[in-house]
Amino acid sequence: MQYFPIPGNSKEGVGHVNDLETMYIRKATQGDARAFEALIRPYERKVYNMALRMFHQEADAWDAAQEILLKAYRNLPGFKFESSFSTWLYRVAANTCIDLYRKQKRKRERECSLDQTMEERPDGLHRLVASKGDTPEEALVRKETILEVHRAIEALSPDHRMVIVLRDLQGLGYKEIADILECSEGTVKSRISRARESLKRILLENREQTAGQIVP
Amino acid sequence: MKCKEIEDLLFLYGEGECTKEETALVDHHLATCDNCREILALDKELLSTLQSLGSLEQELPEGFHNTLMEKVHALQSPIPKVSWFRRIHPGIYGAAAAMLLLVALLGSFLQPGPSPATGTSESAFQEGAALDAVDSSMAVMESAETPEGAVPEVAMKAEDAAGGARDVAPAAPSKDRNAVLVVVLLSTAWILLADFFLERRQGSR
Repeated sequence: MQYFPIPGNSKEGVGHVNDLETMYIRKATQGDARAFEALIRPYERKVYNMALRMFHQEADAWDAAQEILLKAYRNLPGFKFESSFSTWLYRVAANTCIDLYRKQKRKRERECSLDQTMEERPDGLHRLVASKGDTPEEALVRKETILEVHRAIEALSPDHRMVIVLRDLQGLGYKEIADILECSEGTVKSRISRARESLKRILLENREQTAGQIVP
Repeated sequence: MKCKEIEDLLFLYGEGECTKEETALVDHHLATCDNCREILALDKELLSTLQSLGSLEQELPEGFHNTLMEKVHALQSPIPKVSWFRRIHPGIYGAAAAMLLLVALLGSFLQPGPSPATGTSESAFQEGAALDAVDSSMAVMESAETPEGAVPEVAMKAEDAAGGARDVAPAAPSKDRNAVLVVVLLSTAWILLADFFLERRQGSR
């Protein structure tokens, strides 16, 4: 039996502080864990995928998404209804991801061997890419291209990676990203432009390196 | 328009986010520039791959939701908790700081000036008492660090001052007083700062 209806199923849809969400937020702020459960149900998967896109490893994404949602619960009294709940949640997610990413990067640099490649990682992306119904040749090209871009994203700075994740992978609008990052739309546009230029440069450099390895 | 300026707009143009004016400028430039057309094709390819990557959304891992809810239940209420002491006495730190300041100010007013004429035994007694008060208030704040011998020493110096050394203002007790005042003022500042940051930390949780 469903204790609370899911807010995403209401007429207003996800992304607005509708009456149902408002009620859940107020109850959750008073310590009602079940109201919080109903509130975050429609966003849990989005938050997990955002973390996965930032960290690329399932274990890290699990930890990050758990931390984001717990932080959202703890900080819920600070939600002032000035933006949509999803924008606020994305803001918590973006800040937490950047903090964790910087910490983990330092940790990884100390612990991980440099020659560990993406193919060796238990990354769910491989399963997803392979599961699409292409011919074997098409699937191979598709997989290679996607993994190539995936690898290039990993080489971006945390700030650039964040805007690429929000805009190109999560598909959010410029206005919403500006609200999440608390800056102007113009700043977001130029930051995304620079991030994409960096991504393109990394891709070209990687391609040149690969070509150099193949041709003796 | 130069190629560099157009290049900056190509991603936005590729995803249809340019303004009408920008679109017209890019269209005009692309009609005559092969290089920028190639860059646009590359940008569009990258945007398309990114979209494909974005469409690959994974399911929530098994047990994720239950683990999260266990943690949420363990946290109980998200309302910031304030200690019972703070709840009962909301202004306790401010009051402590005010008391310290008052003692420090009283101490400085009661101390005799450099003129020997004011140095009566009564004022020396008051001065000793004021310093004792300062020291005892310090003992509350810094119970571990308060030098037990400091009070008798100051009292002794006060007695000396009362006993006849009226012509010359005693240099050593004056230094002691200054040191005590500095310590009291630093303690006050420390309490106020600690209170401010504790308040902020609780507010941001």
